[in-house]
Amino acid sequence: MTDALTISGLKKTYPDFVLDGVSFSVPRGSIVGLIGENGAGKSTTISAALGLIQTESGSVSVLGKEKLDHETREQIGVVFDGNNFPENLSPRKISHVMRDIYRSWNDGTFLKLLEKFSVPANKPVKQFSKGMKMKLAIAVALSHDSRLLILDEATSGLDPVVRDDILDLLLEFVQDETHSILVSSHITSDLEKIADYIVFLHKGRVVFSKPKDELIEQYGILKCGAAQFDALDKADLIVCRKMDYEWQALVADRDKIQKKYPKALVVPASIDEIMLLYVKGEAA
Amino acid sequence: MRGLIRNNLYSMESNIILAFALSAFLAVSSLFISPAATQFIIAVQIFLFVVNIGTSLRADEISKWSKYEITLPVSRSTLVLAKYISIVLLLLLGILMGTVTILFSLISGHSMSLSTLFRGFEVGLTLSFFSIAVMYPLVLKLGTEKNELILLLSTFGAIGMQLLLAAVLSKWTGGMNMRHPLVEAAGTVAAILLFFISYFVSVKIHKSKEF
Repeated sequence: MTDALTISGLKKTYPDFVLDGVSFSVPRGSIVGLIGENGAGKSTTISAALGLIQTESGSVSVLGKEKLDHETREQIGVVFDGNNFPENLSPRKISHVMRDIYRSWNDGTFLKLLEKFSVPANKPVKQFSKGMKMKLAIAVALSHDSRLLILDEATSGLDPVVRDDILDLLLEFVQDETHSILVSSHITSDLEKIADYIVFLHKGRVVFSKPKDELIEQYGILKCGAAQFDALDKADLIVCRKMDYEWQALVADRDKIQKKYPKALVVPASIDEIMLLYVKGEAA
Repeated sequence: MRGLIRNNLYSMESNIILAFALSAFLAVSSLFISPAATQFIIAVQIFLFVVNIGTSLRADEISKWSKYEITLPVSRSTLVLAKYISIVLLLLLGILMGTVTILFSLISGHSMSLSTLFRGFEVGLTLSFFSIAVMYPLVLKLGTEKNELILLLSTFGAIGMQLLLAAVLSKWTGGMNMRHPLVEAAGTVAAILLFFISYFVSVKIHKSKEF
């Protein structure tokens, strides 16, 4: 399977932050969720992938091309958090603008999507709620035969109903196996629903890049008291965290660990919990 | 390109309508004032349209369009060129309204020489080309927060340039004379030249700008 997006060794230094050798890929036909706390480097990574910022090193390959030429950009749909379009414009005017920019712009598809999302075509964007703005941005991204969608925090600040609508739409988009999505979010429950792979960024570095099912089905949290924790083989633990009344440790194979430590409590870990343990825990 | 220009004009639409309304009022008022004041009105009319580009730049930044447009299948130099072409279109609208003003003035029975007619256009174009030539790259570099201040300083810059030209050309104009036709023509040519140079400077700034 070829990759829709390959990011290799991206490095970008800011006075207070470093994106340090970020590498991962988005296989064709898949949804990759980019997770991490605020300031972890998700938006910087996406900006670098889209050529919005210049990196010191590293490379980006999009749809098989090292250079983001016009032809490649034609096939990328982008959605940023919040507003994306001039506020005075109505969706109909945005359509007129896009028609002259994208060769493959499809007015019919755009208007159908607006109707499906209940987004008024003739109202200026400034009168839209955040949810409507996001739906509009997604409608634009889906109306020019995009093969790769890149969404930066596209579901943040939206109510669960709107988020669910958007997630359904993303799942529908990848039904075509030539379509792929990179979506960054700190709402990990959304990504648990739709992502095939999870890339976890922490302090500008990729902590892991794994299939979501492996995380959900194999990772676990071992919970135990201090005495039991001391007796554990630390090589079995990825990270651990001392809580008020117990120790929690992240393990990569919960069944194996349960067998090895039958008296310990080993429970499945959600992506949220995995992220929290990585961020707040310490090396075992 | 066409889509980008269309977007620029759409985002300035309400301000352009306002500029038309104000220009129309000024054109009508030329029926009742002296030809000398008509020159001033024409200059103001042209400038009224051009200052709208500041609104467009601010709207782009606030709505994050300036970030989004980088992801479109167009080059950064095309994005900048679209802005400069939009500015020229605004200038043409100003010239159109200036022409209407002259027609009104003629209807009212004012007799004006050709040089008097062109003086208003000259001043308007010099002021507009110079101000935008300075303002656009500065706003690109510094952001739109100080938009108005930059425009104001650019306008003073245009007056400064005229003063400088008047001083340099004083040998041929019989002393320091800002209203001498040679100084005014040189000012317009210099402003247009600066406008062209400004495009290349803006492209350079835009290409290294991070969004």
